[in-house]
Amino acid sequence: MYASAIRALVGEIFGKNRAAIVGAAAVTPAAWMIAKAYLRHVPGIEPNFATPLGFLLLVVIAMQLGSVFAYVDLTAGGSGSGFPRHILLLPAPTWLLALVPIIAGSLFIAAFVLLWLRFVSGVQLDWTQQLALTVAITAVMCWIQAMSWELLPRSMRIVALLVVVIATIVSVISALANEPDFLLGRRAGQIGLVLTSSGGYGFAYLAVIRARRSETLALNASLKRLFFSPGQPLHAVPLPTLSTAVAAQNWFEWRVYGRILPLFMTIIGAFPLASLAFDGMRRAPSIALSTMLLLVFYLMVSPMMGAAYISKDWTRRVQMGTFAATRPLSDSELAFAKLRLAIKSYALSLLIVCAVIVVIILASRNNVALLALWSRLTQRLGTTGSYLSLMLLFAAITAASWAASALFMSLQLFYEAVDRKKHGWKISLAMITLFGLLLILARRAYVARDSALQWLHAARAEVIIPVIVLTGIALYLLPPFRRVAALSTLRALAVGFLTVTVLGLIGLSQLRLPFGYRWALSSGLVSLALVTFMPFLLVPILVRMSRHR
Amino acid sequence: MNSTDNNVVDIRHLTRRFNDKAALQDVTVRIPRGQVFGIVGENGAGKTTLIKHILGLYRAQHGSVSVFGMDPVKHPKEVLSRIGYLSEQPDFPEWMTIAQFMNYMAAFYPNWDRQYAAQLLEMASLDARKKIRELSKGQQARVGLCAAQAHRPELLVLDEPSSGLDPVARREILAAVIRTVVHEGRSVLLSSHLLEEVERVCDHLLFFSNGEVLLSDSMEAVLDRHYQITLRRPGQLEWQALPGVFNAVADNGEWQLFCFADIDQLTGLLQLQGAQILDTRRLSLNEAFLARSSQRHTPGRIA
Repeated sequence: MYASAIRALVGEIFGKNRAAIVGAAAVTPAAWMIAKAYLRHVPGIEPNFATPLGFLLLVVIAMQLGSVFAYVDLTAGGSGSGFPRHILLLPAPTWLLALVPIIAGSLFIAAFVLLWLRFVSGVQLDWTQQLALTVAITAVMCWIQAMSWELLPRSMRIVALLVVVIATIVSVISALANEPDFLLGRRAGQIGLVLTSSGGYGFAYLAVIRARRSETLALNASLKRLFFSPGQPLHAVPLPTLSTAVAAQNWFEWRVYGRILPLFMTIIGAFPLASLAFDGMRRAPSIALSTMLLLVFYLMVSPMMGAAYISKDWTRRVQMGTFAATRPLSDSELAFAKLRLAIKSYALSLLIVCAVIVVIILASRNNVALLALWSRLTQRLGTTGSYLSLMLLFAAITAASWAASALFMSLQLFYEAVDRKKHGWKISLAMITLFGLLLILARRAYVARDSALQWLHAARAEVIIPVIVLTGIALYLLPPFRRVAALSTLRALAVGFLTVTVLGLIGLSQLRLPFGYRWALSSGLVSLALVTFMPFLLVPILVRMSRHR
Repeated sequence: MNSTDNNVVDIRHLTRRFNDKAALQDVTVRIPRGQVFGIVGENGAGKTTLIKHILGLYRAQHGSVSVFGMDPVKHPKEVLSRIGYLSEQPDFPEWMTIAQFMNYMAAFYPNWDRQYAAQLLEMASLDARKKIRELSKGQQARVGLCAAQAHRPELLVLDEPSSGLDPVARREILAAVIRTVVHEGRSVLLSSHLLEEVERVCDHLLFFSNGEVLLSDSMEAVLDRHYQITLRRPGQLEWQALPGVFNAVADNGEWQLFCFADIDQLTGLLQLQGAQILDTRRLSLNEAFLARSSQRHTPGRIA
């Protein structure tokens, strides 16, 4: 009986998500081989996947496979709607329903990860490390499975999973580290791994029981029961003053989407802050530097929020719902409510990240690595130049994350607005061709970089190009050249772009940098201006397309 | 006020295709001010597609849509601020309390009447402190109805509102809302598959089938002119050639004709052709709908 139930369950998992599994497990190595072949033709660059970027790619693929091996049907058009509830009616014991996807997923992903590490990254692991890694993957799978069984309300699942993934990563790093006292220490790391995997399985098991009864843990109701007796009247929620339709929409956007990213960053930031309580952690030589990884995480996560900002609510299928589309607002007002939300949310998140980093640096009093970096910078650029570079870096991070998010938003809107059945293959073909052309162009530019730089130097391109691009953007935003609906935000933007142009040009002329640096700065300025501007051009048009089909 | 001003909605020769399927075909509809305009039709007939054009959620592929004299795609803000809309499956923000929701909605409509909104909530027996997600489907529909109404819209669009409302709410709340709207000289567009309800509240009926308007007439005319004629006549009967007959069933030499016509003229014509009229019976709206829904081969045969 068990054998047939296991067969049915495995069939369900592989059958429903065959394309996604093949996609992640087979196409990715193919892409890696293409990348390797491509890099072979670029002189001076050796393909190396034992880099943080290579490992990051591996983690992303493994996480994707993790969600595939949960029972969710990814082809059903959304994480919320894809759960095959008929599984709950199978005559199989609950422990089996919980265990099969965990074991199937863990074995598959572990094999994939170990093969990748061995053949792609060239990392050799001994058998204890391989075992620890498999246990860590199993732990995460347990929790993914627990979440997919709808144990928690949808809005809580991602946060819970994030916490567990971080705890597992910390445990696995502690367990595998060469130094026995690194992070939590080897013994604590091993215990942490066992606890997270067994706890995860327990939760997955409980979740199956609840799912079979169509129950979800009602956290709000439980908390209310803790603080209020059942007879107590409900408390009236204070109502915000919403004087205009735009103010109402801004409030709505913030309440639905705005708090997610700051909340994520607070949760992630809480881990290094909490680690300060441990003396060993506080005195670890790399704590201040590794906290900077928060910035990297922020840069990774924030662009993806752009796609979520377009969904009806952030946990559900991406689309502009009828309710949103029928708000009596112009298309531009709807679009700018989204863009404003992104700016506010990102600025607050970055502020949280910066605050955590500053606290860690101050509290750890162990900034050797950072001070070394700073002294290298000041030696090269001088004190003013270093501070200026630091400010530019933070400005660039804010702008780039926001712009990337807005571009994701645009892509998602485009994906929603076009008839995918009719034009999907044409778009895919166009994207692949464009990507291929860009790669070829990048390779040629890299090979011809010396002669190209000489030509650009002679033409004073580092001054002329930013002037043309930034002035063009500013003029586009200013009346009477403005093509999108009149909004005060655009006036502010135009002034902002003009200011950046002037400051950038002053910076370029005053920094007295060699031409290569000036050109890099100028290219960065132009790229940043373009990616920041593009959403203002694209999002209103795409909101319009998505709203009026 | 000229005739154009008197129409809140003016749709001309509207055609809409989704890939190969025509959802609307050459539809021309005018909704006059102060009327309750009912749309009926089987599932997939094009009712919601038509409503989405009125709301500006679909742009006209062919033909034109004008609401309050404006294109709803070009002027969504101006058009939507004068419309109250309740959809079949309202996707309200469930995290809000009813009070938050009404407060949020009020900001969009300059004519929002807070006192009237409170009255509507009271009439619908809703506790403003409750969250929308805690409400039943019917209660959510009541919230939607209150929110669609509280700014006294010039056009109230109700797309299958009854699917969420229980019979009591339908009969009492919906009917009261519609009465108030019409009493104040405003218009209602009601799409529903509950024909009794449509018969009870609507002044004008639009009958949709396969994206085409089969019938557009006053409710009075619709009820007065739909007949079933039972007759006996030897041999074949070329019923498709008879004026106003849209469906026919033959059984053992007896024919049942379904028509939308002047009954005296038609029976006279049939008798001239040698038919023996056994019975004539006025059809209810429900019967007329069923007869028309099974009509597949006689497009355009409308008197």
